[in-house]
Amino acid sequence: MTPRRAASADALHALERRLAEAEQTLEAIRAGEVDSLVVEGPGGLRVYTLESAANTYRVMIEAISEGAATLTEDGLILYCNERLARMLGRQLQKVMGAPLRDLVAERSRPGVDALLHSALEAESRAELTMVAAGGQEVPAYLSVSCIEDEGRRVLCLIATDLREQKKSEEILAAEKLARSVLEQAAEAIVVCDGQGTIIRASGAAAELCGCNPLLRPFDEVFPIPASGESVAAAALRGRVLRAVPATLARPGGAPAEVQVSATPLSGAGGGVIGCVVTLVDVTQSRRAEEALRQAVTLRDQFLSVAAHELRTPITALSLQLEGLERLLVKEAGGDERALKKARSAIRQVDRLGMLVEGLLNVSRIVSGHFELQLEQFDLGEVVKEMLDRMSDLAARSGCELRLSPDSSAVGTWDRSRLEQVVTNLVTNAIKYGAGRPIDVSVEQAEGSVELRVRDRGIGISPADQQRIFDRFERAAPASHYGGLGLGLYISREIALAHGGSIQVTSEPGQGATFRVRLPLAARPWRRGAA
Amino acid sequence: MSANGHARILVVEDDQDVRDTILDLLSDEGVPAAGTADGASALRFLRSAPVKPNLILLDLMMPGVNGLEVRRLQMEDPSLANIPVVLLSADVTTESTAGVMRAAGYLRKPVKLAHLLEVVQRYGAPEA
Repeated sequence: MTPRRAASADALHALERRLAEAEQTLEAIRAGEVDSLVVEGPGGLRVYTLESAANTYRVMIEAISEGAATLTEDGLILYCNERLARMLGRQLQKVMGAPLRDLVAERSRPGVDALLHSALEAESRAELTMVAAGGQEVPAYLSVSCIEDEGRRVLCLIATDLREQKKSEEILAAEKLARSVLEQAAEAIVVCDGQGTIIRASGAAAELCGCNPLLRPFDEVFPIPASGESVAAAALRGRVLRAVPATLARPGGAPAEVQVSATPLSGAGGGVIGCVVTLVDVTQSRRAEEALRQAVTLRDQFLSVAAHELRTPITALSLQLEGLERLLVKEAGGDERALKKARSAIRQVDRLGMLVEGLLNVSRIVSGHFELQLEQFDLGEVVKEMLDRMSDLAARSGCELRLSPDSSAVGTWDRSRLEQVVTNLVTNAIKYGAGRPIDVSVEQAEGSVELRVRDRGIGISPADQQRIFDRFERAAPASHYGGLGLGLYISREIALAHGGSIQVTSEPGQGATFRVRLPLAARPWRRGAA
Repeated sequence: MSANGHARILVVEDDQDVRDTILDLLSDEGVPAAGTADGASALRFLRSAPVKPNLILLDLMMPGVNGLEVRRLQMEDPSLANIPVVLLSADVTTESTAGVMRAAGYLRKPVKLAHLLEVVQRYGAPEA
């Protein structure tokens, strides 16, 4: 052995000896066999005496359920009880002699320093995070006070482990949240145990059943059958029910229409330990839906009757005016002014007739009485005829109606319905594109025909482009442009009834182009009553 | 009525304004015509007329004996069965009804004068 190695071995032995002595000393202190301790500090060696009389207190300190320790003014742990060591998952011997600040999380160290400092003046408390041996954080409540012992100041520490308390607080908070969610839920929600007894219920559930449902069997409080077995029984068997419609009989009250959903609750072992049942009272919304449906039916019936009743006097008025015009023409020297007035009156009656026709069409469409009378004809010729008929109207609005010269397509359709479509589209073009030309074309391509009506009017915003085909909808304000908002709806229904479609392309301010595409041989498609 | 008192067209229409207007217009055109307000009177008129009209303008919806019933009874009567009938109705199914009733044609309300005169020309013109 070299002299250097021999010296190292001696030093190691010396250290081992000292460590063993220290451990023996600590054990002795703890056992009450030693009553003083010498600690080397910056001011030299200091002796801390442990009076044998204090043994009783030591035993008491060991018995308490809090961590306890005595410390030097600098925060060095002189003594600690088993509880504190266990709390920190450390050996007792490793805790004694260690500075307190080494046993707390780094972020809590300033807090420990402040705590110890202020404890020299008065008892101080703080919630801090200590650190266990494995690095696990231990929330703790530390209380430190200073006592004088033989002219020396010693700090007494009591540490309360807050882990259990924190866990309890979390459980309580979660429980409180769940309870408030349940209480405030607008739906009737009940939680049943494994026997189907209601153990939790929302306020709405109590309102729905008209009693306090707690601790009563679900089936007794909510007697709702679900395919032969009760809702709770089904859920407890593991079945999930989603919005099952049911009628809930209520003692002393009208039955409620409800939608029932139920989900089994699984325990830690995976078995069903209960269930959650939600009941949504849809009585009011059902009534509102029914009332709305009846209102719509009544409106459509009214439209049908009103339109029918209006046609009779319009017939008389229209025939009288046409008879008057005929008389004025026949009579030599007929008054031109009177003739002009008669013709103006005829136009107004025609308009009135068209409006009434629109209302009748709507009632036909919604009642399903919308049948096509198919015949073979050239759509181009029909369009030309219709444009001729509307040329006066267009001229009065400053519009030139321009039909593409090669407009022709022979097919099988309902002539009068397509006349309506042409009338509706061209009337709209005149109404919204006054003062500018309107281009109309009929083009045949691959088994279908496309009727196109293009105006240069106010145009239609993208948002309005789908809406305008709905009943009583219109993009332009009714205060600026007349009409009932039915023309495009009827046109779309006519196109659909032929197995075709209608589309619009437009930009606001740039006019609009309507395209009606129809198969050459209509494939009638009837929509059921709306 | 014609000079000899025989109506060439019978207008069966319960609405007085419509009936009077049509009779008025036919009168303007020099076509002798008669009108009745319901089905029962129409059948009575037809059966009692020594000279039967050339055409019946028949409304469908009437109180009492309606247009369908008038047409059925008319077809059952050999002395009346050959008189052409043109339906006059605001009903949406006039066209298909006309087919079922074996009517010569139909006029949908609101009726245009030109269409009415066309029908009159075709069926109710004075005999040559």
